[in-house]
Amino acid sequence: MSDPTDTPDDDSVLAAEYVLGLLSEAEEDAFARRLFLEAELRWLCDGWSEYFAALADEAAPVTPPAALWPAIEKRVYGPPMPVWRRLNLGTAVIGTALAAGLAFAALRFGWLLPEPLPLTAELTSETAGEVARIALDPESGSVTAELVGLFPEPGRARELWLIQGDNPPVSLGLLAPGTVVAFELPETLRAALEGAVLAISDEPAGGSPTGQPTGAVLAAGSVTAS
Amino acid sequence: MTAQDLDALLTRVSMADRKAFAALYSATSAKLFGICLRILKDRAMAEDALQDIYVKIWKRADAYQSGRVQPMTWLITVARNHAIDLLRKRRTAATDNAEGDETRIDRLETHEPGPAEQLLQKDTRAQISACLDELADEKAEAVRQAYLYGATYAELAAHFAVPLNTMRTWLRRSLQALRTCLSR
Repeated sequence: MSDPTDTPDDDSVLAAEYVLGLLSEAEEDAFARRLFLEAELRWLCDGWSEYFAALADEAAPVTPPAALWPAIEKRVYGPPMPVWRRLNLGTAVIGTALAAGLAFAALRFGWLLPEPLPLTAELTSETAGEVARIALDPESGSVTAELVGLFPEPGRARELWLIQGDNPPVSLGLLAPGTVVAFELPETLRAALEGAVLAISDEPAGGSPTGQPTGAVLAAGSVTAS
Repeated sequence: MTAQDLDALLTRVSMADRKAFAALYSATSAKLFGICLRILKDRAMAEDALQDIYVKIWKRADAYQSGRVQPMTWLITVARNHAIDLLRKRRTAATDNAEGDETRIDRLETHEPGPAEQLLQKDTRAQISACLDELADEKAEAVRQAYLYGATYAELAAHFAVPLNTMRTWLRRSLQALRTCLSR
């Protein structure tokens, strides 16, 4: 595999291998990092997806059992809202009644001890080692992030990005040096978090003006179960 | 249903439109279920997979970008990748049971693709199939196995009884030949 004349090593072939899922984990990570910045690569992957999807035509359509749709609806829309929420009783009323009891229970049973979030990512740079620690909860969408290295120069900022599959990066927000900041993921981003790539880019103060990374990617890492 | 209709539905689904989601399901679930059955070769697994796939589609519809890939391609890719993930997990869990029972699938009730299923552009389909035909049979088969069965390089090497590196060189050359043919 090391002889370059022996193996066609161009991006198009690499993109095809990525779409087919043939790359090793390390290769896939490296490719996903490049996808983040290179629109050309995303374009190549789209082209291959289009062609390979045509192979799925070999599979004849089969009508799924009727019971599947209601099951999907239930999972997607959730159970009907509890009565007190439908009646729109102020949470304050319930809150006051419950607050004392809950505060006691919290102390009593240690509910206030933070549960570790189920997913983590360690963002590293080749030169600086660990740059940020991220924890994520796909259920609640909460994300905590701490920038531990490569602090921004004055007038610059560090922006955190989420890349799922070959989709363009989505900004999660700005990181603060040495401080844990919390974000909430929009519901649409909470699926398929495991294996997604997080990356940090160098941006002007206030963050990327374009909604896509404009500066150098300083560190990246993939999301794994903690 | 045309690709344009489907594109409009997906856009509405990304805005949490439940009616659009129901319409999308009735237009596409037979195609995606067929793909799940083809890949997983197990009815119960395919039913579970289809549920997961539509939950994903609902949650991730905003990742679909109009004009990047055809809407049906996007849906097929979500379904294929999910089914392949399950298949790979099942293979690692029970390597001795990697080959499913083909005949079970053949007996399943199928229906002729209606206009709703013929959503992929005929050109694309004709082109990939013509270009695969230009490859040697076993090379085309390796590409098919990678896409439809999620075969890894190691599995392909075992199947074709060649060393891993040879397999990789072999398949990469095939992909390159395919690319050259497709761009003609």
